[in-house]
Amino acid sequence: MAGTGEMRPIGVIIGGSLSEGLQMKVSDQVSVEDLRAGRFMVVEGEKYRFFCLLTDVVLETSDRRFMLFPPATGDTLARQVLQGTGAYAIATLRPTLMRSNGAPAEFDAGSLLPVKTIMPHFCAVYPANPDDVAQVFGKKDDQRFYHIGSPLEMEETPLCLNMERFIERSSGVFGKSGTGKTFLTRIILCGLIQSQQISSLIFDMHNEYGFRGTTEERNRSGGVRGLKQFFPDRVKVYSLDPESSKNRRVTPDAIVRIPIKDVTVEDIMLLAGELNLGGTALETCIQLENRLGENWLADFLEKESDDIVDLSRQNVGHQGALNALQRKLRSFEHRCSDFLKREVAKQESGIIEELFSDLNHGKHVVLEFGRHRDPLQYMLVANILTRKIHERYREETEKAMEGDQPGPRPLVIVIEEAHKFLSPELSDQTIFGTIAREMRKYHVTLMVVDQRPSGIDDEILSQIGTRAVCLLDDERDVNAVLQGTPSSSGLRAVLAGLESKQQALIFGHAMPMPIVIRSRTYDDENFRKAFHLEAPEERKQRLDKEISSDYG
Amino acid sequence: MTAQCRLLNQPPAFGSFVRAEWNDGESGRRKSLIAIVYWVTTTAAEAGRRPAPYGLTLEELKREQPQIFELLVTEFTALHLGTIIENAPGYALPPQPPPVHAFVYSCTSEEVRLFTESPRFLRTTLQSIPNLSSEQLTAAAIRHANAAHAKESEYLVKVGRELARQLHDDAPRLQAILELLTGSDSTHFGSEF
Ligand SMILES: Nc1ncnc2c1ncn2[C@@H]1O[C@H](COP(=O)(O)OP(=O)(O)O)[C@@H](O)[C@H]1O
Ligand SMILES: [Mg+2]
Repeated sequence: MAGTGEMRPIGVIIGGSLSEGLQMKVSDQVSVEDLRAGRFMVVEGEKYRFFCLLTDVVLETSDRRFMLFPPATGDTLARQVLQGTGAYAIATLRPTLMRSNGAPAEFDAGSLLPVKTIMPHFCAVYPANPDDVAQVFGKKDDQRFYHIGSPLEMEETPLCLNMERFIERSSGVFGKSGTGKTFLTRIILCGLIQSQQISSLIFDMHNEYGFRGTTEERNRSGGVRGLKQFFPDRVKVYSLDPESSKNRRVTPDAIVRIPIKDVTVEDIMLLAGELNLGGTALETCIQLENRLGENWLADFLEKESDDIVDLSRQNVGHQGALNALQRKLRSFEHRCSDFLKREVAKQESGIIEELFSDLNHGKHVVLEFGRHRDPLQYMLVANILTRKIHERYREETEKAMEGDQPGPRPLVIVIEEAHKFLSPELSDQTIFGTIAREMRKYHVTLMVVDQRPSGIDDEILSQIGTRAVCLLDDERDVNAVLQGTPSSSGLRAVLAGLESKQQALIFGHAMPMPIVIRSRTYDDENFRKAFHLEAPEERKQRLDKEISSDYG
Repeated sequence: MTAQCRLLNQPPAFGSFVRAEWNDGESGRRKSLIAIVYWVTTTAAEAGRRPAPYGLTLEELKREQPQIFELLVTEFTALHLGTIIENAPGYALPPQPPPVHAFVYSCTSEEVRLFTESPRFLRTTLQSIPNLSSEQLTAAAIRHANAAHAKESEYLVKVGRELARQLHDDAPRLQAILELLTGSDSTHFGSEF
C-alpha cells in the first residue's frame, strides 16, 4: 500500500453514496479554510484506495441551537470548544477511481478501476501523496508522460499528461482572458514536440509561440522564449508579415502568400459576419462561383459596371446587390492585400507543399500573423491553409490505405479564438468543424484555445477529448466546457475555486480522473533545464553547484 | 459517600476532589475511591436534635455558648467518580463503597491532575442529582481540575471539547457550563446576535 507516511488524516468518511459522493467529517485538527475545492484526496478503504476530488464543504451544527445562539465574537473558549464538536465541517468528496491495495506500486493503467462501490463508514481520508499522483497520472521519468504542472497544494509533486492518449483526440484549452491559456498551450506543445509522435501547425494570431512570447510578469520586458528557441531544429516559423518579423529582428523560415484563387465561397461564408454579408449575398457568391469557376473572386473583383449588368441579366443577382457585394469584397481584398495576391511569385506558390512536407517530416510550424491579426485576416488564412493541408492529409491517408502504409505523420492544428470558427452557425461549413467531427480519420486533430467556449457548437465541443479549463466567469461558458462530463455539478464548484492564473482543471480523454493543476512556470530556470536550454551563466552556476556538492 | 469532617465548618470545597482509603478485609489490599464533593451540611451530632438559632450572632454564640458547638458536626457528601490505583486513574466504580470509618482525604493537586488528565471524569458529573445543578457541579469540577493543570494552557479547551461532545444535542446546557467557566456574566452566548 502506498505509504501515507507521517500524514495525519484530514477526516473520516461518515456517509455518502456512489451517486451523490462521499461525506467526510473534517478532523477538528484541520482548518476548514485549508480545504480547497479541487484538492486531490485519498480514502483508505479496506481493500481499495479511493482517489477523490474535494468538491464541496459545508458547515454543520450538532444542535440547531448553536446556530441560533452563536458564541460572542470575543468568546474564544466557546469558539474553540465548539469547533469540530458541536459545530463542524463536512466535505463532499467525489470518488473518481479506485485501486486495489494489492496492486503493484508502479503506474499501471490497468490497476485504475472505475468506482463501482464505496468504502465502509469511518475510513480515514488523507491528502494524496506523491506516490498516489504517480500511480494515477504516471511518472515524469517515463517517456510516455510529460510533466505539465503539479496538483493543488502539492507544489513539489510533478503531475503528468499521458501524451499518447492526449493526441488520440482533439483537445481544448479554455479560460477567460489572462488566465494562462497561451502559456499552458505552449507548455503542452513543448511536450508534444519532445515526444516526437506528432507534428503541429499553430496559427499564432498574436505572435506568441514562435520566437518570443509576451508576459504580464514585471521585470521581464523581454518576454519569454518561444518554441523556436526551445527546439530550433524542430520548429519552423512561417510568417504572413515579413515586415513585422524584420522589425522584431527575427528571420522566418518561410513567407506565406495566399493566391486569391484559393479563396472559396466557404471562406467568404466564414467571414460573413466580419464582412457584413447577409444570406442573399452569400447565395450570390455561390452563383458567382458556379458561373465564373475557380478564379471567381478575382474575376468578379475585376468586373466593370457593364459586366455587372450582364451578370444580373444572367440572374446571378440584382445589379444593386452585385455592386454592393463587389464593394465589400474589394474592401476585403484591400484589407488582406499584404498577403492575398492575384499573382503569387513562383518561389512562394509552393507553400502548401512546403508546409505539408515540413509537417510530414515531424516539424512543428508556427504561422505568425505579424500585424495582420484582425479576426478577418486570421480567420481567412487559418481556414484556407487548414483546408489545403487537410486535403493533402486526406490524399496521403487514402493513398497510404490503399498501399497498406502507415499514412502521414499525425498532425494537431492549434487555433486560438476557436469559437470564431466553430460557432453553431459556422461549424458545419468550416474545415475546422469537419476535422473535429472526423476524429482523426485523416490523422488530423485540433487543439482549440478559447475564452468563450459557449460560442462553440455543442456537437464540436463533445468531440473535444481532453479539456484544460482555467477560470471562467460566465455561467454559459462553464456549462459548455462541462457538458457531457459525468456529475459535472461537483466540477462546477471546483472550477469556480480556481485561481485567476496558472491553474486549470484538466479532465477528459487523457486524464484518468479530473484534477486541478498549477501549471509549470513556463520558461523559468527549471523549465529551461528540463529542455536543455540554459543561459551560459546559468549552466556555469549549475555546474559549479554540482561540482561543489560532488566534491564539497 | 458521606463523610464527617474532622473540624466543624471546615468542609472541602464544593466540586473539589476527595479520596477515601481503606484496607479490603478479604484481600487485604489497599483500596481507594475518588469522589467529588457536592453536598455539605452541619447538623447536630445526635439524631433527633436540631441546632437552634438562640437569636445571637455566630460570634456571640462562640463567646457565650461554646458548648453547643460540641454537639454539632459538619458532614459532606461526594459523588463517586472512579479510582486511582498505582498511579493510574480508572473511571469504573469499585464494586463496594468504602466501609464506615474509612478515612477521606482531600486529593493532592497531583492526584487531581492525574485523575482529570482525561476529561472522562465529566461523564459522571454531568448526570443529574436531585436538588443539585449538575452544570454547577461540572463547572466547579472543571475549575478544580484546571487549577491542577495550571501549566497546561490548552487544558480548559480540551475539557470543554469533551463537554461539547457529551452535550452535542444540548446547546443550552453546554452554554451554561461554559459561562460559569469563563466566570464573566457579560459573555453570554448570543449576547451580540
Ligand atoms: N504557466 C505559466 N508560467 C508562467 N507565467 C504564466 C503561466 N500561466 C500564466 N502566466 C502569466 O499569466 C499571464 C497571462 O497568461 P496568458 O497565457 O497570456 O493568458 P491567456 O492566453 O489566457 O490570455 C502571462 O503573461 C504570464 O505572466
Ligand atoms: Mg492568449
